[in-house]
Amino acid sequence: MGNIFEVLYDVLFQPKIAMQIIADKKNVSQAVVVFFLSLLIPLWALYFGLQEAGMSAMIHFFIGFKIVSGMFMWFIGTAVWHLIAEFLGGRGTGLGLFVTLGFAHFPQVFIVPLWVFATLLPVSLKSIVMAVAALVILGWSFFLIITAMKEVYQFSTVKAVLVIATPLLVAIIVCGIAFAFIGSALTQMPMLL
Amino acid sequence: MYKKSVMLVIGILVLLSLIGLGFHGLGAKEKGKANQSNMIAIIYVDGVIIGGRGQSSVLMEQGGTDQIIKQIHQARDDESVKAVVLRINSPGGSAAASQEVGEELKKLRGKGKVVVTSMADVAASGGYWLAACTDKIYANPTTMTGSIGVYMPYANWEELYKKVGIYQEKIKSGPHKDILSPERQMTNEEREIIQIMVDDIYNQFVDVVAEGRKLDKEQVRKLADGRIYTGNQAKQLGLVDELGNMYDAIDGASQLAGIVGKPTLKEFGKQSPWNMIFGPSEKISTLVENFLFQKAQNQLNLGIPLEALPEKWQVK
Repeated sequence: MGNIFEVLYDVLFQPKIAMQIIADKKNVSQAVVVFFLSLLIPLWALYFGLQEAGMSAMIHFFIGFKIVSGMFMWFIGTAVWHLIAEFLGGRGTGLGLFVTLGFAHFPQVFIVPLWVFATLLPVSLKSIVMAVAALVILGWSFFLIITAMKEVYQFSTVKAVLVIATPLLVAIIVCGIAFAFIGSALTQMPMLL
Repeated sequence: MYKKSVMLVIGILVLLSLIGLGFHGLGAKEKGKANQSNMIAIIYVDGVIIGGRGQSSVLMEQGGTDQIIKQIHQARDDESVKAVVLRINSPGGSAAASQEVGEELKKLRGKGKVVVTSMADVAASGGYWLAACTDKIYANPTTMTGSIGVYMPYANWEELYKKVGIYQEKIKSGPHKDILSPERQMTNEEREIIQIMVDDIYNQFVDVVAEGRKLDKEQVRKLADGRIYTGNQAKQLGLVDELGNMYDAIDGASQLAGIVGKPTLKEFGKQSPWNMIFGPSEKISTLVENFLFQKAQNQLNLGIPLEALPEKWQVK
């Protein structure tokens, strides 16, 4: 595994080996470059997509939100997942996870060629192809995140998925409890009408 | 080496896609610009026409004629807006608020913008005042409109107060300071004062209708006895120009403004998801208050023209 081209090739076609090596080498600068490429290239598609949809006024808001939330999720996601992984007996490092997650977003650059391809299709097929392309890329990135988790902490697939899903499960449970409390409080309020 | 070659091919593909998308996007932008020069603004007048800011929350305001006037100003200042469709679904409201919006509509027309009214279920009284200030009026055949006139509601609760033992004393600066007080009978002199005011507002209303509809004042006075008309009747009487729905009004506005092709619509005051989540909502206490008040006046059916709010002048 030499230069960044070879690293990226391995991420796409030999993810297991690639994630092992990336977690081992912990090359943060490469991870930052790949992460920003993966973030900014799809934004190009988003920019023109929003313009075509007549949402020009919201473009800056969406793009700003996407950049800030992307960076935030990368940092905070790494921290939260690392903590959960350690609770579940993982032996990897936070930095290793941070770097591998940076590379795991790389398939998102394919959204641009796929959307260009979709624009050449008839209108009836266009939205379906776009939606399928988005789902495939989302699934691919998710697969790479699971692979990263497995290789960084030496987890099984089930355990890796559990770590990734835990924050979402906790959020659902907290919301459920909050709604239960709010609901009980509301039923105690006097009926006015 | 082959790995580098594969990645270079992928890189070139992505780069070409970015450039292609850029050109495609620029084309769409030009097309969008061309469409935006044919814009028709739609401004909604819903519910009772009352002055002020309406309801307000930390993030935004809605309701009240201040919002409608703000939207009229936005349409006036927007070069791409060639015409405005005023979608009215209102039983009327305060005379001053109706007049204020009506004058703004006249100024909008003065700036060269076409203003067309589309009447929904009800466009009566103050709602008709606004319509009369526009270039053309569309109504559905069953729309309730008309109700040209003014009234001042007054309730005398003197007997009720006596029964429950309420006696109010007032120290007044002048004999008419507590005019229209519900705890005493109105004097003949006071009735005359109020009647003169009602007549004055009525005359102003008649002038607006006569000027807007290009009718003779005497002819308007004959129609303006306060009665309501269907859209069909109103067309026969010259109070409405065409029968049709909002899209007919949009087509009409498009023709008047000389827009070639399909116009782009810009809706003002439409509820966005942001509005729905963070927008102001009526407090329960206000809803209860309104409900009890309307129930007391047997006026829960808002389908009839104009509700009576005792503290307001009503255009009818």
